Amino acid sequence: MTIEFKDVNIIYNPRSPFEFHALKDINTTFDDKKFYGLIGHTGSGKSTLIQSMNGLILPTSGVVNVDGTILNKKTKQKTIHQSKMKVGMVFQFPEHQLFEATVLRDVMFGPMNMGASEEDAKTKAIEYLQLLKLPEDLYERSPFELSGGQMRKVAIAGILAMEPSILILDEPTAGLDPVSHDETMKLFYDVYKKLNVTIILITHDMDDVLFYTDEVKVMDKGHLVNEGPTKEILRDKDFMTRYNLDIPHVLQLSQDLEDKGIHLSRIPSNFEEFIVLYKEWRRSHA
Amino acid sequence: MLNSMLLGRYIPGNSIVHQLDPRAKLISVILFMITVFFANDWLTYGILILFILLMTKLAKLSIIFLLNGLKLVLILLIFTFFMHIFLTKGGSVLIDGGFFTIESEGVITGIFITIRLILLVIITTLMTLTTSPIELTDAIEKLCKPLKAIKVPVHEIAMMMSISLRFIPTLMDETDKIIKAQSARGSTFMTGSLKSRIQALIPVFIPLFMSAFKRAEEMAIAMEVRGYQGEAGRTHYRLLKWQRRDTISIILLIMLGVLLLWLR
Repeated sequence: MTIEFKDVNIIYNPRSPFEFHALKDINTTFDDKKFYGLIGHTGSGKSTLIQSMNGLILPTSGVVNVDGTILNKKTKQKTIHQSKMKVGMVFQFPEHQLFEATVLRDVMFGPMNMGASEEDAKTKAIEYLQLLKLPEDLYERSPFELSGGQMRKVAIAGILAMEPSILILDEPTAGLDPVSHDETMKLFYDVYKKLNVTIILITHDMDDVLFYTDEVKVMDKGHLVNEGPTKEILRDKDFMTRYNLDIPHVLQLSQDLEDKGIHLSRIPSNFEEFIVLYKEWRRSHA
Repeated sequence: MLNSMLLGRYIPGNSIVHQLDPRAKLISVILFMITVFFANDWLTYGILILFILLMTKLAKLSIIFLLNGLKLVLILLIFTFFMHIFLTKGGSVLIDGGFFTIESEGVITGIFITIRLILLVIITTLMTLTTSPIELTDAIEKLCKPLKAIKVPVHEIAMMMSISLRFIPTLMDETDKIIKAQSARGSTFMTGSLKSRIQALIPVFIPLFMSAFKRAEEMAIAMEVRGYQGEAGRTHYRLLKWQRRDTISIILLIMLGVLLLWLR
Protein backbone atom coordinates (compact mmCIF):
# COMPACT_ATOMS: atom_id res chain seq x y z
CA MET A 1 0.00 0.00 0.00
CA THR A 2 1.43 3.36 -0.98
CA ILE A 3 0.77 6.93 0.02
CA GLU A 4 1.31 9.57 -2.60
CA PHE A 5 1.50 13.34 -2.05
CA LYS A 6 0.88 15.58 -5.03
CA ASP A 7 1.48 19.36 -4.74
CA VAL A 8 0.20 19.34 -1.17
CA ASN A 9 -0.04 22.65 0.70
CA ILE A 10 -1.48 23.05 4.15
CA ILE A 11 -2.22 26.42 5.70
CA TYR A 12 -3.56 26.72 9.24
CA ASN A 13 -5.97 29.52 10.14
CA PRO A 14 -5.86 31.15 6.72
CA ARG A 15 -6.53 34.89 6.60
CA SER A 16 -6.02 35.49 10.31
CA PRO A 17 -3.14 36.75 12.44
CA PHE A 18 -2.50 33.09 13.33
CA GLU A 19 -2.02 32.07 9.68
CA PHE A 20 0.67 29.44 9.33
CA HIS A 21 1.89 27.77 6.15
CA ALA A 22 2.75 24.31 7.51
CA LEU A 23 3.37 22.33 4.32
CA LYS A 24 4.69 23.79 1.09
CA ASP A 25 4.36 21.98 -2.25
CA ILE A 26 4.97 18.47 -0.98
CA ASN A 27 5.51 15.86 -3.69
CA THR A 28 6.58 12.46 -2.46
CA THR A 29 5.65 8.80 -2.18
CA PHE A 30 5.76 6.33 0.69
CA ASP A 31 6.19 2.84 -0.76
CA ASP A 32 4.75 -0.42 0.46
CA LYS A 33 6.30 -2.30 3.39
CA LYS A 34 9.28 -0.06 3.99
CA PHE A 35 10.43 1.40 7.28
CA TYR A 36 10.60 5.17 6.88
CA GLY A 37 12.10 7.79 9.10
CA LEU A 38 10.68 11.30 9.02
CA ILE A 39 13.10 13.79 10.51
CA GLY A 40 13.39 17.54 10.84
CA HIS A 41 13.56 20.26 13.42
CA THR A 42 10.63 21.11 15.71
CA GLY A 43 7.99 22.96 13.71
CA SER A 44 9.27 21.68 10.38
CA GLY A 45 5.89 20.18 9.46
CA LYS A 46 6.46 16.50 10.27
CA SER A 47 3.35 16.16 12.40
CA THR A 48 1.22 17.98 9.86
CA LEU A 49 2.52 15.70 7.13
CA ILE A 50 1.55 12.51 8.95
CA GLN A 51 -1.81 13.88 10.04
CA SER A 52 -2.70 14.52 6.42
CA MET A 53 -2.23 10.81 5.70
CA ASN A 54 -5.46 9.79 7.39
CA GLY A 55 -7.52 12.90 6.92
CA LEU A 56 -7.04 14.40 10.37
CA ILE A 57 -5.96 17.48 8.44
CA LEU A 58 -7.08 17.95 4.86
CA PRO A 59 -4.79 19.63 2.33
CA THR A 60 -5.54 23.29 1.60
CA SER A 61 -4.53 22.46 -1.96
CA GLY A 62 -3.20 19.36 -3.68
CA VAL A 63 -4.04 15.69 -3.25
CA VAL A 64 -3.02 12.91 -0.88
CA ASN A 65 -3.64 9.47 -2.35
CA VAL A 66 -3.82 6.79 0.35
CA ASP A 67 -3.88 3.55 -1.60
CA GLY A 68 -6.64 4.76 -3.89
CA THR A 69 -8.50 6.86 -1.31
CA ILE A 70 -8.22 10.44 -2.50
CA LEU A 71 -7.95 13.13 0.17
CA ASN A 72 -8.28 16.75 -0.87
CA LYS A 73 -9.94 19.94 0.33
CA LYS A 74 -13.45 18.70 -0.42
CA THR A 75 -13.22 15.09 0.75
CA LYS A 76 -16.32 13.86 2.62
CA GLN A 77 -16.21 12.42 6.15
CA LYS A 78 -17.14 8.94 4.87
CA THR A 79 -14.09 8.80 2.61
CA ILE A 80 -11.88 10.13 5.38
CA HIS A 81 -13.13 7.30 7.57
CA GLN A 82 -11.84 4.80 4.98
CA SER A 83 -8.36 6.27 5.10
CA LYS A 84 -8.39 5.96 8.90
CA MET A 85 -9.01 2.26 8.58
CA LYS A 86 -5.85 1.89 6.53
CA VAL A 87 -3.54 4.09 8.55
CA GLY A 88 -2.87 3.42 12.22
CA MET A 89 -1.40 6.28 14.19
CA VAL A 90 0.49 6.13 17.47
CA PHE A 91 0.68 9.65 18.86
CA GLN A 92 3.09 11.04 21.42
CA PHE A 93 2.08 9.76 24.85
CA PRO A 94 -0.53 7.38 23.44
CA GLU A 95 -1.52 6.40 26.97
CA HIS A 96 -3.41 9.72 27.17
CA GLN A 97 -6.09 8.32 24.89
CA LEU A 98 -7.18 5.48 27.20
CA PHE A 99 -10.74 5.83 28.48
CA GLU A 100 -12.55 2.50 28.78
CA ALA A 101 -13.47 0.64 31.94
CA THR A 102 -11.18 -2.30 31.21
CA VAL A 103 -7.99 -2.85 29.25
CA LEU A 104 -9.69 -5.33 26.95
CA ARG A 105 -12.56 -3.00 26.12
CA ASP A 106 -10.16 -0.19 25.36
CA VAL A 107 -8.25 -2.29 22.84
CA MET A 108 -11.58 -3.38 21.31
CA PHE A 109 -12.60 0.24 20.70
CA GLY A 110 -10.77 0.59 17.36
CA PRO A 111 -11.88 -2.70 15.79
CA MET A 112 -15.50 -2.05 16.86
CA ASN A 113 -15.38 1.39 15.21
CA MET A 114 -14.33 -0.40 12.05
CA GLY A 115 -17.48 -2.46 12.23
CA ALA A 116 -16.13 -5.68 13.74
CA SER A 117 -18.51 -7.73 15.87
CA GLU A 118 -17.92 -7.85 19.62
CA GLU A 119 -16.63 -11.43 19.31
CA ASP A 120 -14.12 -10.58 16.55
CA ALA A 121 -12.99 -7.42 18.30
CA LYS A 122 -12.31 -9.43 21.45
CA THR A 123 -10.30 -12.04 19.56
CA LYS A 124 -8.21 -9.34 17.92
CA ALA A 125 -7.73 -7.46 21.17
CA ILE A 126 -6.42 -10.57 22.91
CA GLU A 127 -4.20 -11.40 19.95
CA TYR A 128 -2.44 -8.03 20.04
CA LEU A 129 -2.28 -7.77 23.81
CA GLN A 130 -0.47 -11.11 23.70
CA LEU A 131 1.81 -9.88 20.94
CA LEU A 132 2.84 -7.01 23.21
CA LYS A 133 3.27 -9.46 26.08
CA LEU A 134 0.86 -7.82 28.46
CA PRO A 135 0.11 -10.17 31.40
CA GLU A 136 -3.31 -11.78 31.01
CA ASP A 137 -4.50 -10.94 34.51
CA LEU A 138 -4.49 -7.26 33.57
CA TYR A 139 -7.09 -7.61 30.78
CA GLU A 140 -10.05 -7.00 33.06
CA ARG A 141 -8.38 -4.24 35.09
CA SER A 142 -8.96 -0.53 34.60
CA PRO A 143 -6.28 0.90 32.30
CA PHE A 144 -5.77 3.73 34.79
CA GLU A 145 -4.48 1.31 37.44
CA LEU A 146 -1.56 0.19 35.26
CA SER A 147 1.99 1.47 35.26
CA GLY A 148 3.02 4.04 32.65
CA GLY A 149 4.79 1.49 30.48
CA GLN A 150 1.86 -0.92 30.60
CA MET A 151 -0.58 1.87 29.73
CA ARG A 152 1.48 2.70 26.70
CA LYS A 153 1.42 -0.94 25.62
CA VAL A 154 -2.35 -1.06 25.94
CA ALA A 155 -2.68 2.07 23.83
CA ILE A 156 -0.37 0.66 21.17
CA ALA A 157 -2.28 -2.65 21.16
CA GLY A 158 -5.45 -0.60 20.62
CA ILE A 159 -4.01 0.75 17.40
CA LEU A 160 -2.47 -2.51 16.19
CA ALA A 161 -5.79 -4.28 16.76
CA MET A 162 -7.23 -2.23 13.90
CA GLU A 163 -4.72 -4.05 11.68
CA PRO A 164 -3.66 -1.03 9.67
CA SER A 165 -1.39 -1.59 6.69
CA ILE A 166 0.50 1.60 7.48
CA LEU A 167 1.64 2.37 10.99
CA ILE A 168 2.68 5.90 11.84
CA LEU A 169 4.69 6.49 14.99
CA ASP A 170 4.94 10.07 16.23
CA GLU A 171 7.83 10.06 18.72
CA PRO A 172 6.68 6.84 20.35
CA THR A 173 9.54 6.84 22.83
CA ALA A 174 9.13 10.39 24.14
CA GLY A 175 9.56 10.48 27.91
CA LEU A 176 10.75 6.89 28.28
CA ASP A 177 13.86 5.76 30.16
CA PRO A 178 16.65 4.21 28.03
CA VAL A 179 15.63 0.63 28.78
CA SER A 180 11.96 1.14 27.92
CA HIS A 181 13.07 3.14 24.93
CA ASP A 182 14.99 0.19 23.49
CA GLU A 183 12.17 -2.19 24.40
CA THR A 184 9.58 -0.09 22.65
CA MET A 185 11.65 0.34 19.50
CA LYS A 186 12.38 -3.41 19.36
CA LEU A 187 8.68 -4.03 19.80
CA PHE A 188 7.83 -1.89 16.81
CA TYR A 189 10.53 -3.55 14.76
CA ASP A 190 9.03 -6.93 15.69
CA VAL A 191 5.63 -5.68 14.63
CA TYR A 192 7.14 -4.47 11.38
CA LYS A 193 8.67 -7.88 10.67
CA LYS A 194 5.70 -9.95 11.82
CA LEU A 195 2.78 -7.99 10.44
CA ASN A 196 4.37 -6.89 7.19
CA VAL A 197 3.32 -3.26 7.41
CA THR A 198 4.74 0.06 6.26
CA ILE A 199 6.10 2.07 9.17
CA ILE A 200 6.71 5.80 9.28
CA LEU A 201 8.69 6.87 12.33
CA ILE A 202 9.00 10.45 13.52
CA THR A 203 11.81 10.86 15.99
CA HIS A 204 14.67 13.08 17.08
CA ASP A 205 16.79 10.08 17.97
CA MET A 206 19.12 9.70 15.00
CA ASP A 207 20.55 6.43 16.34
CA ASP A 208 17.09 4.89 16.03
CA VAL A 209 16.69 6.33 12.55
CA LEU A 210 20.00 4.82 11.44
CA PHE A 211 19.34 1.46 13.07
CA TYR A 212 15.74 0.82 12.10
CA THR A 213 14.77 2.74 8.98
CA ASP A 214 15.37 1.94 5.30
CA GLU A 215 14.72 5.39 4.00
CA VAL A 216 14.40 8.88 5.45
CA LYS A 217 12.58 12.01 4.43
CA VAL A 218 13.84 15.30 5.81
CA MET A 219 11.54 18.27 6.46
CA ASP A 220 12.49 21.88 7.03
CA LYS A 221 10.15 24.88 7.40
CA GLY A 222 7.34 23.07 5.61
CA HIS A 223 9.47 21.90 2.70
CA LEU A 224 10.59 18.37 1.99
CA VAL A 225 14.32 19.03 1.60
CA ASN A 226 15.71 15.54 1.05
CA GLU A 227 14.73 11.89 0.76
CA GLY A 228 16.57 8.67 0.11
CA PRO A 229 18.35 5.70 1.69
CA THR A 230 18.98 6.33 5.39
CA LYS A 231 22.73 5.78 5.50
CA GLU A 232 23.44 8.03 2.54
CA ILE A 233 21.57 10.97 4.00
CA LEU A 234 22.66 10.59 7.61
CA ARG A 235 26.31 10.39 6.54
CA ASP A 236 26.18 13.72 4.73
CA LYS A 237 27.68 15.89 7.43
CA ASP A 238 27.23 19.22 5.62
CA PHE A 239 23.60 18.51 4.93
CA MET A 240 22.86 17.34 8.47
CA THR A 241 24.49 20.36 10.13
CA ARG A 242 22.79 22.75 7.70
CA TYR A 243 19.42 21.53 8.95
CA ASN A 244 20.48 21.36 12.61
CA LEU A 245 20.24 17.58 12.77
CA ASP A 246 22.49 15.39 14.88
CA ILE A 247 24.69 12.80 13.27
CA PRO A 248 24.13 9.32 14.75
CA HIS A 249 26.79 8.43 17.30
CA VAL A 250 28.01 5.38 15.40
CA LEU A 251 28.46 7.33 12.20
CA GLN A 252 30.25 10.10 14.07
CA LEU A 253 32.56 7.54 15.66
CA SER A 254 33.42 5.78 12.41
CA GLN A 255 33.93 9.19 10.81
CA ASP A 256 36.39 10.13 13.59
CA LEU A 257 38.25 6.82 13.02
CA GLU A 258 38.31 7.50 9.30
CA ASP A 259 40.01 10.83 9.99
CA LYS A 260 42.66 8.97 11.97
CA GLY A 261 43.26 6.64 9.06
CA ILE A 262 41.24 3.67 10.31
CA HIS A 263 39.03 2.54 7.42
CA LEU A 264 36.33 0.03 8.31
CA SER A 265 35.24 -2.33 5.52
CA ARG A 266 31.73 -0.82 5.49
CA ILE A 267 29.62 1.67 7.38
CA PRO A 268 28.08 0.21 10.54
CA SER A 269 24.48 0.97 11.43
CA ASN A 270 24.69 0.15 15.15
CA PHE A 271 27.24 -0.38 17.87
CA GLU A 272 27.26 -4.19 17.70
CA GLU A 273 28.06 -4.02 14.02
CA PHE A 274 30.67 -1.39 14.73
CA ILE A 275 32.42 -3.63 17.24
CA VAL A 276 32.50 -6.53 14.78
CA LEU A 277 33.90 -4.32 12.03
CA TYR A 278 36.46 -2.74 14.31
CA LYS A 279 37.70 -6.13 15.54
CA GLU A 280 37.94 -7.18 11.89
CA TRP A 281 40.09 -4.14 11.18
CA ARG A 282 42.30 -4.84 14.19
CA ARG A 283 42.84 -8.40 13.06
CA SER A 284 43.75 -7.34 9.52
CA HIS A 285 46.18 -4.73 10.85
CA ALA A 286 47.72 -6.81 13.58
CA MET B 1 -13.26 23.43 14.53
CA LEU B 2 -11.37 24.71 17.53
CA ASN B 3 -9.25 26.91 15.32
CA SER B 4 -11.97 29.54 14.97
CA MET B 5 -12.12 29.84 18.73
CA LEU B 6 -11.19 33.41 19.62
CA LEU B 7 -12.57 33.38 23.13
CA GLY B 8 -9.82 33.96 25.66
CA ARG B 9 -7.12 34.33 23.02
CA TYR B 10 -4.67 37.19 23.13
CA ILE B 11 -2.82 38.68 20.20
CA PRO B 12 0.21 40.65 21.41
CA GLY B 13 0.61 44.07 19.84
CA ASN B 14 1.41 47.66 20.61
CA SER B 15 -1.61 49.54 19.34
CA ILE B 16 -3.20 52.28 21.43
CA VAL B 17 -5.89 49.80 22.51
CA HIS B 18 -3.26 47.32 23.65
CA GLN B 19 -1.54 50.02 25.68
CA LEU B 20 -4.61 51.16 27.60
CA ASP B 21 -4.68 50.28 31.27
CA PRO B 22 -6.60 46.99 31.63
CA ARG B 23 -8.78 48.59 34.29
CA ALA B 24 -9.75 51.30 31.82
CA LYS B 25 -10.52 48.67 29.21
CA LEU B 26 -12.63 46.65 31.59
CA ILE B 27 -14.64 49.68 32.72
CA SER B 28 -15.00 50.83 29.12
CA VAL B 29 -16.35 47.47 28.05
CA ILE B 30 -18.88 47.49 30.86
CA LEU B 31 -19.93 51.03 29.91
CA PHE B 32 -20.25 49.98 26.27
CA MET B 33 -22.37 47.00 27.22
CA ILE B 34 -24.75 49.28 29.08
CA THR B 35 -24.77 51.71 26.17
CA VAL B 36 -25.70 48.98 23.72
CA PHE B 37 -29.01 48.61 25.51
CA PHE B 38 -29.84 52.30 24.91
CA ALA B 39 -29.81 51.85 21.14
CA ASN B 40 -33.26 51.45 19.62
CA ASP B 41 -33.21 52.63 15.99
CA TRP B 42 -31.06 52.55 12.85
CA LEU B 43 -29.16 55.73 13.75
CA THR B 44 -28.16 54.64 17.24
CA TYR B 45 -27.18 51.14 16.13
CA GLY B 46 -25.27 52.71 13.25
CA ILE B 47 -23.26 54.85 15.67
CA LEU B 48 -22.39 51.80 17.77
CA ILE B 49 -21.30 49.82 14.70
CA LEU B 50 -19.15 52.75 13.61
CA PHE B 51 -17.63 52.90 17.09
CA ILE B 52 -16.76 49.19 16.97
CA LEU B 53 -15.22 49.56 13.50
CA LEU B 54 -13.14 52.46 14.78
CA MET B 55 -11.95 50.49 17.81
CA THR B 56 -11.03 47.52 15.61
CA LYS B 57 -9.04 49.86 13.40
CA LEU B 58 -7.29 51.37 16.42
CA ALA B 59 -6.45 47.89 17.73
CA LYS B 60 -4.97 47.06 14.32
CA LEU B 61 -7.17 43.98 13.92
CA SER B 62 -9.17 43.05 10.86
CA ILE B 63 -12.95 43.11 11.21
CA ILE B 64 -13.24 40.02 8.97
CA PHE B 65 -11.11 38.13 11.45
CA LEU B 66 -13.39 39.22 14.29
CA LEU B 67 -16.50 38.26 12.34
CA ASN B 68 -14.97 34.83 11.72
CA GLY B 69 -14.76 34.48 15.47
CA LEU B 70 -18.53 34.84 15.63
CA LYS B 71 -18.96 31.38 14.12
CA LEU B 72 -19.04 29.94 17.60
CA VAL B 73 -22.18 31.89 18.54
CA LEU B 74 -23.71 31.64 15.07
CA ILE B 75 -26.40 29.18 16.17
CA LEU B 76 -27.40 31.48 19.02
CA LEU B 77 -27.59 34.44 16.61
CA ILE B 78 -29.71 32.59 14.06
CA PHE B 79 -31.98 31.23 16.77
CA THR B 80 -32.55 34.68 18.28
CA PHE B 81 -33.19 36.18 14.86
CA PHE B 82 -35.84 33.64 13.92
CA MET B 83 -37.50 33.71 17.33
CA HIS B 84 -38.09 37.43 16.83
CA ILE B 85 -39.22 37.06 13.24
CA PHE B 86 -41.90 34.57 14.16
CA LEU B 87 -42.92 35.72 17.60
CA THR B 88 -42.68 39.52 17.65
CA LYS B 89 -45.88 41.00 16.26
CA GLY B 90 -46.70 44.49 15.05
CA GLY B 91 -46.50 46.61 11.94
CA SER B 92 -47.61 45.39 8.52
CA VAL B 93 -47.92 41.70 7.69
CA LEU B 94 -45.14 40.73 5.28
CA ILE B 95 -45.85 37.02 4.83
CA ASP B 96 -49.02 35.20 5.85
CA GLY B 97 -48.28 31.49 5.91
CA GLY B 98 -51.60 30.46 7.42
CA PHE B 99 -50.60 29.17 10.80
CA PHE B 100 -47.85 31.78 11.12
CA THR B 101 -47.30 35.36 10.06
CA ILE B 102 -44.14 37.36 9.65
CA GLU B 103 -44.66 41.00 10.48
CA SER B 104 -42.41 43.98 9.80
CA GLU B 105 -41.89 44.75 13.48
CA GLY B 106 -40.60 41.21 14.03
CA VAL B 107 -38.05 41.48 11.22
CA ILE B 108 -36.74 44.80 12.49
CA THR B 109 -36.53 43.69 16.12
CA GLY B 110 -34.84 40.49 14.95
CA ILE B 111 -32.18 42.46 13.12
CA PHE B 112 -31.65 44.85 16.04
CA ILE B 113 -31.33 42.14 18.65
CA THR B 114 -28.93 40.18 16.45
CA ILE B 115 -26.79 43.30 15.95
CA ARG B 116 -26.91 43.87 19.70
CA LEU B 117 -25.60 40.37 20.39
CA ILE B 118 -22.90 40.72 17.74
CA LEU B 119 -21.78 44.02 19.24
CA LEU B 120 -21.59 42.52 22.71
CA VAL B 121 -19.57 39.55 21.53
CA ILE B 122 -17.21 41.67 19.44
CA ILE B 123 -16.48 44.23 22.17
CA THR B 124 -15.60 41.52 24.68
CA THR B 125 -13.53 39.65 22.08
CA LEU B 126 -11.77 42.91 21.30
CA MET B 127 -10.88 43.27 24.95
CA THR B 128 -9.53 39.73 25.39
CA LEU B 129 -7.64 39.92 22.09
CA THR B 130 -5.81 43.07 23.17
CA THR B 131 -5.36 42.34 26.88
CA SER B 132 -3.25 39.51 28.20
CA PRO B 133 -5.07 37.28 30.70
CA ILE B 134 -2.63 38.31 33.43
CA GLU B 135 -3.38 41.98 32.92
CA LEU B 136 -7.07 41.24 32.92
CA THR B 137 -7.06 39.39 36.22
CA ASP B 138 -4.82 42.06 37.70
CA ALA B 139 -7.43 44.60 36.69
CA ILE B 140 -10.24 42.57 38.17
CA GLU B 141 -8.33 42.12 41.40
CA LYS B 142 -7.66 45.85 41.66
CA LEU B 143 -11.22 46.86 40.79
CA CYS B 144 -12.71 44.41 43.27
CA LYS B 145 -10.40 45.45 46.13
CA PRO B 146 -13.17 47.30 47.96
CA LEU B 147 -15.04 43.99 48.33
CA LYS B 148 -12.34 42.88 50.73
CA ALA B 149 -13.99 44.98 53.37
CA ILE B 150 -16.86 42.48 53.38
CA LYS B 151 -14.41 39.55 53.50
CA VAL B 152 -14.57 38.50 49.87
CA PRO B 153 -11.31 36.63 49.08
CA VAL B 154 -10.53 38.87 46.10
CA HIS B 155 -6.93 37.79 45.63
CA GLU B 156 -7.77 34.08 45.73
CA ILE B 157 -10.59 34.52 43.25
CA ALA B 158 -8.31 36.48 40.93
CA MET B 159 -5.66 33.80 41.22
CA MET B 160 -8.21 31.13 40.38
CA MET B 161 -9.32 33.14 37.38
CA SER B 162 -5.84 33.66 36.05
CA ILE B 163 -5.05 29.97 36.42
CA SER B 164 -8.24 29.05 34.59
CA LEU B 165 -7.54 31.53 31.81
CA ARG B 166 -3.98 30.30 31.60
CA PHE B 167 -5.17 26.75 31.04
CA ILE B 168 -7.82 27.45 28.40
CA PRO B 169 -5.33 27.18 25.50
CA THR B 170 -3.61 24.20 27.13
CA LEU B 171 -6.87 22.33 27.51
CA MET B 172 -7.85 23.31 23.96
CA ASP B 173 -4.63 21.81 22.63
CA GLU B 174 -5.18 18.75 24.76
CA THR B 175 -8.74 18.35 23.49
CA ASP B 176 -7.53 18.72 19.95
CA LYS B 177 -4.91 16.02 20.46
CA ILE B 178 -7.32 13.59 22.08
CA ILE B 179 -9.94 14.17 19.38
CA LYS B 180 -7.29 13.39 16.80
CA ALA B 181 -6.08 10.28 18.61
CA GLN B 182 -9.60 8.93 19.00
CA SER B 183 -10.68 9.74 15.49
CA ALA B 184 -7.54 8.01 14.23
CA ARG B 185 -8.98 4.99 16.04
CA GLY B 186 -12.13 5.35 13.97
CA SER B 187 -14.27 7.37 16.38
CA THR B 188 -16.76 9.47 14.44
CA PHE B 189 -17.76 12.94 15.60
CA MET B 190 -18.95 14.34 12.31
CA THR B 191 -21.23 11.57 11.06
CA GLY B 192 -23.95 9.33 12.41
CA SER B 193 -27.02 9.95 14.55
CA LEU B 194 -27.10 12.50 17.34
CA LYS B 195 -26.91 9.65 19.85
CA SER B 196 -23.77 8.16 18.33
CA ARG B 197 -22.16 11.59 18.12
CA ILE B 198 -22.80 12.21 21.79
CA GLN B 199 -21.45 8.77 22.62
CA ALA B 200 -18.33 9.62 20.62
CA LEU B 201 -17.64 12.36 23.16
CA ILE B 202 -17.07 9.92 26.03
CA PRO B 203 -13.67 8.81 24.68
CA VAL B 204 -12.71 12.48 24.54
CA PHE B 205 -13.95 13.65 27.92
CA ILE B 206 -12.61 10.87 30.10
CA PRO B 207 -8.96 11.29 29.01
CA LEU B 208 -9.42 15.05 29.13
CA PHE B 209 -10.64 14.97 32.74
CA MET B 210 -7.90 12.55 33.68
CA SER B 211 -5.21 14.88 32.42
CA ALA B 212 -6.89 17.99 33.80
CA PHE B 213 -7.01 16.51 37.30
CA LYS B 214 -3.42 15.37 37.03
CA ARG B 215 -2.35 18.79 35.85
CA ALA B 216 -4.23 20.49 38.67
CA GLU B 217 -2.53 18.32 41.23
CA GLU B 218 0.93 18.96 39.79
CA MET B 219 0.15 22.66 39.68
CA ALA B 220 -0.92 22.68 43.32
CA ILE B 221 2.26 20.89 44.36
CA ALA B 222 4.41 23.22 42.29
CA MET B 223 2.78 26.24 43.92
CA GLU B 224 3.16 24.80 47.37
CA VAL B 225 6.85 23.96 47.04
CA ARG B 226 7.44 27.51 45.92
CA GLY B 227 5.87 28.71 49.10
CA TYR B 228 2.62 30.14 47.82
CA GLN B 229 0.40 31.08 50.75
CA GLY B 230 -2.20 33.32 49.30
CA GLU B 231 -1.97 37.05 49.27
CA ALA B 232 0.09 37.76 52.38
CA GLY B 233 3.27 39.62 51.49
CA ARG B 234 2.92 39.36 47.73
CA THR B 235 4.04 42.18 45.47
CA HIS B 236 3.38 42.69 41.77
CA TYR B 237 5.94 42.43 39.01
CA ARG B 238 3.73 44.38 36.64
CA LEU B 239 2.43 47.59 38.12
CA LEU B 240 -0.69 49.04 36.58
CA LYS B 241 -0.33 52.71 35.86
CA TRP B 242 -3.34 54.89 35.21
CA GLN B 243 -2.61 57.51 32.55
CA ARG B 244 -4.39 60.40 30.94
CA ARG B 245 -5.47 58.31 27.91
CA ASP B 246 -7.23 55.90 30.27
CA THR B 247 -9.31 58.70 31.75
CA ILE B 248 -10.02 59.96 28.25
CA SER B 249 -11.23 56.57 27.08
CA ILE B 250 -13.70 56.35 29.93
CA ILE B 251 -14.94 59.91 29.35
CA LEU B 252 -15.43 59.03 25.68
CA LEU B 253 -17.48 55.98 26.58
CA ILE B 254 -19.66 58.00 28.96
CA MET B 255 -20.16 60.60 26.22
CA LEU B 256 -21.16 57.84 23.80
CA GLY B 257 -23.74 56.63 26.33
CA VAL B 258 -25.14 60.12 26.88
CA LEU B 259 -25.29 60.72 23.11
CA LEU B 260 -27.31 57.56 22.63
CA LEU B 261 -29.64 58.39 25.50
CA TRP B 262 -30.25 61.78 23.90
CA LEU B 263 -30.79 60.39 20.39
CA ARG B 264 -33.15 57.56 21.22
